[in-house]
Amino acid sequence: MENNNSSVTSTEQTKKVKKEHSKAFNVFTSGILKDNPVLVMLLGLCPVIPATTSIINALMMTIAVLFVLLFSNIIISSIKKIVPNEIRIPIYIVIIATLVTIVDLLLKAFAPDISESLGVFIPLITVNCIILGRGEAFASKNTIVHSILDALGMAIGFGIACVTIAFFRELLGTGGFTLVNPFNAEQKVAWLPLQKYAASVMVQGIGGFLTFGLVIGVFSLFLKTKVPSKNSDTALKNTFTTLHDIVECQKSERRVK
Amino acid sequence: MESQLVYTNFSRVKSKRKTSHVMIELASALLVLFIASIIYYGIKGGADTGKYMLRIFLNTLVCFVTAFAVEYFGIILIDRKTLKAYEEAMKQNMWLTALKRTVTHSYFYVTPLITMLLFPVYTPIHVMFISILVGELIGKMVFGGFGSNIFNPALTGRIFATICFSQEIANGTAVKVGTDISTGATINGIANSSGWLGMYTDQLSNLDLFLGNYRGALGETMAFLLIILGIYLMIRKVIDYRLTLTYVVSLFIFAFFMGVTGKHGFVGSLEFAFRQICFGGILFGAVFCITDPVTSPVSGTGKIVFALIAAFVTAMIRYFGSAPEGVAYSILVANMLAPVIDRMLSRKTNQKMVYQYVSIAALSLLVIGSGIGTGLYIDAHKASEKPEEKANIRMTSNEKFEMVYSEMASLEGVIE
Amino acid sequence: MNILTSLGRKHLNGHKGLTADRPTVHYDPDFVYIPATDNKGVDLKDALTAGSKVKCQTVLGVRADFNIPVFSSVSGEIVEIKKIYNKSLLRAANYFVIKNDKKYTEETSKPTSENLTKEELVEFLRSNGFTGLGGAAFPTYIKYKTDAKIDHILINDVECEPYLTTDYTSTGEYIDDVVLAATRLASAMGVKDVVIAIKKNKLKAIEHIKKALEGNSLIRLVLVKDVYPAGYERTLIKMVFKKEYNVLPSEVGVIVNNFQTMASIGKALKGEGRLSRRYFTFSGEALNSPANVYAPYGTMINEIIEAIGGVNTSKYSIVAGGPMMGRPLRQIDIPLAEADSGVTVLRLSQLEVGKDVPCLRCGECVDHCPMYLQPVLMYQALNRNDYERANKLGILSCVECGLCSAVCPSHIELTNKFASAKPIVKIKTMKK
Repeated sequence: MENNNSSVTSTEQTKKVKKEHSKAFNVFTSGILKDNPVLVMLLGLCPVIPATTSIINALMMTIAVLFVLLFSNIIISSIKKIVPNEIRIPIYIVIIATLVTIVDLLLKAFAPDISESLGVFIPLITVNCIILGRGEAFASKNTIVHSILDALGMAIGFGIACVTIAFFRELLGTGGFTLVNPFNAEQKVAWLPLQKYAASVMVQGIGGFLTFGLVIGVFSLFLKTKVPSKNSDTALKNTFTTLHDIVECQKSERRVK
Repeated sequence: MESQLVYTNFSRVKSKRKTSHVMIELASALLVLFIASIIYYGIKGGADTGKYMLRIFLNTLVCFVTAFAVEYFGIILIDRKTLKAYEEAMKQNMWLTALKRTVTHSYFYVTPLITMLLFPVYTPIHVMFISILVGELIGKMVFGGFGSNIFNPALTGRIFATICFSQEIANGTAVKVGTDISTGATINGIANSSGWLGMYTDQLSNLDLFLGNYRGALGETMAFLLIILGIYLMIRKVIDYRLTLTYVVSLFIFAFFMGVTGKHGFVGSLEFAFRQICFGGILFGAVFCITDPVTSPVSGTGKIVFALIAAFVTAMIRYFGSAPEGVAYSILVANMLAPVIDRMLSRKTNQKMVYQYVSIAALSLLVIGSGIGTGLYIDAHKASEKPEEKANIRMTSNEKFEMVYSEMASLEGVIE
Repeated sequence: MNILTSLGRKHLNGHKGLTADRPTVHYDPDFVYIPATDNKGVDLKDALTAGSKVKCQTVLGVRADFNIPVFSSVSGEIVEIKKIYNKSLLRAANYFVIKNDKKYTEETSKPTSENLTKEELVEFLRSNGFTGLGGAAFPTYIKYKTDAKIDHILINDVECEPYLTTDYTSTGEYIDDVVLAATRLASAMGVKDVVIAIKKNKLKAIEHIKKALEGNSLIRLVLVKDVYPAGYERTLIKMVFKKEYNVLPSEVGVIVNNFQTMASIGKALKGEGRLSRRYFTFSGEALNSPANVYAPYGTMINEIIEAIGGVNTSKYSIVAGGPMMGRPLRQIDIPLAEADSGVTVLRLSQLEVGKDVPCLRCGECVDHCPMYLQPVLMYQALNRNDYERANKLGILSCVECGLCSAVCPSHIELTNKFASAKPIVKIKTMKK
């Protein structure tokens, strides 16, 4: 009897552990593709257009967002029990603003050229909806471990979206890729095979919005979102069966003639 | 024989004139214009005729192939349900049906023809490729294929290419600017340098302007052919006469009043107004671009209001703005307002006729008034602008502002 | 010419040569079927029972909705009251089955006095059960009961529907009755101007009318262009009197009646009893020999089709009325009603289905709609199930004339979509 009991509890325990692992796995992967913050949930679009003018800019923005998101999720998740409900939003913003200031000062110190090219959009991470949204919707209601995984997933998703858009913008806008060492702007490696044919408007605002829209469109195609069609299935079937009959009648009449 | 009653509730009386007939007539008119331009460049090309012909051929090939490919894949993605139902009932392969539908349901051949005619003869191939790609993809397919687009696809591609490649397009009017065919500046350059009120008849006579004996885009120069084609298409009801006539007549009246206040006298103003509408793509835009039925409002009053707005914006951009292509921008702006016009007129078309007549009258007064105002303004400021060199000016949107303020020899003899 | 609309410019191919000026066929059925219910399906009051002997113009019952009697169209005996499919109610309903003794003996009736007052006229029209014979079957006495000042009476002989030629065939025969009816009605209502309207290409009928109107100062003839909705009340009043009205023509002082209705009124005023038989047009390319058939009301359609020679193709489609406004039928063993002008039988190979192209937004439908609606915008609204906007655009005013589908160059099925959406819009707007 005792043997049975312990084996039952051990299977129960493994099941519980497996469920926890799968939930954690879900939390991590949902941010990458299924609930991608930029391409599916359409959050935090403000820095996407200016930060995707080149791949290096996109990567640096991703790293900044990752840093802020990770630590803000950790902190919010740790203090979630002691924060009063009425003033939770200002408190979260203070936390996020602190982290953003840290990031801003670090960038200004160690990568001044990147900081200049990203400009005002680094401080604007403060009001980026991804960070505030995830903090409010997820981190304040889940454990620290899950919050860390969520932050990592969301940041990776943001990164994937930004790098994809930046890939096309840089390729079509400048004719190739230019990799710049973020800490030392002098070192750059440029591969520009199509420079003669580059459409310079792609690295400006117009190209940014167009590429962004097209990437969202192609992405949602693969997600197989259903679009309602104006003709129902039965109506179409009815129409084309009648068309079939009519064509048969016309053929038989021509044969008779 | 054994007779069977079939119950169908489909309409039994249908028109003999189908959309495909309308589109084919439109395409043939464009083809006539295209061939006339090719003949012109063939005659006037001199030593570079071979290069012109090769470039035109390659551009046409690129345009058509790209347009066909984009529309083919667009149809497969958008009309998937209908294609599957057709395949089940009629036992025809889906991919072949989509091929046929690209020609019969989506009329892919119209947009590349219009795009070809909007560019100069020696445009680089990559410019044409990007223009037609953006025009088809973003001007047409993304909105849902044929019949659902808001913006004119050919003009969308043209504007995109203008912003990206303005220098290449300006250089594209001849193989090398400065050879036989290209002595002199572009029309816009001359007109802008003489302050828009000049009748520069010694640089370009009336007959040359009318026949298209100067360099510019392929379809825009031949005024006489465009007038003949326009009248033919209006009689055959391929294009709506209200759009074309309103646009051209309101621009004519605008220029007429500008001439009157610019001290040209009555007959001189008529000649001035006639010259103003013969260049810059106004006639081409009036006959082929603004009359695209998909992007213009549906009711009669809506069409007249639409054309009046487009004419007003064209005049403003041309005489006060720095962009060289006033027609394309203004038609796109009016296209943007077409759904709004439809929404405001969404009632029975015989109700509230007072509002309809008042809006038409108000817009016409606006056009006339701004004509008078423009004439007075340019006349008053003409003396303070410095005239500049007239030979070999390539006007781009960026350089124009610098040109205005650079000092050159006087052109007083040109301005009457 | 109005540049904002092109109403009154669409000429349809009438195919009238199939039956016009051809010899008419007289058909005497063995049984006729008269409806025993009114338009809403309620049974008639004081209805006769099976076994009663009837003559032409015997009252079979009184309709509850408008209080007008229903008459028998033949003399004979009521065999039974049976449920048959009723094509206006779209379900089975009660019908009197009357066995025809082919003698057509009439009930006695006397001519009315020469001068009638308006009240006597209205009572005369009501007690003789006149309904419009143009297709809509609206009770005539209600039209004349109005309090508005009437200046004109318009007699509609236009018949713009393709394939139908009943009015054209009967013009020569009935023109004198029509003149009599018009004179009496005009004197009763105080009207000084009566107009007969007909299309300008119906030359034989015009000759008959001109001969009958010689020297008549009250009635005049107006010729109308050969365009499609010219026979529609609203468009005809605009073409003849240049006036537009909201709901009823009496708002602008006009009363419109069909030619056949006037002929029936004239015969009744003379004392010969109202018409119990009329010319029905059985036309269409699928019939072996299309013809105008002179038959009593209530004859079965399939009997007549067999009698005139039957169908010449393997698959056909049949429409009650003309191809533009008629309703398709699912079966042919149904009786003809009083107001039916005829039946059109078309070959299936003549129809075109499923070849519609996306809407070009050319605006042809907007330019041609006789109710001044904008079909293209309503179509777009219905495609995204936006019934509110469709209601705002006025879809409930659509009369389903079929002109928008006929002019559309993309061959889109507009009329069907509006016809199937109107009940839904009605329900949704009534909920509020």
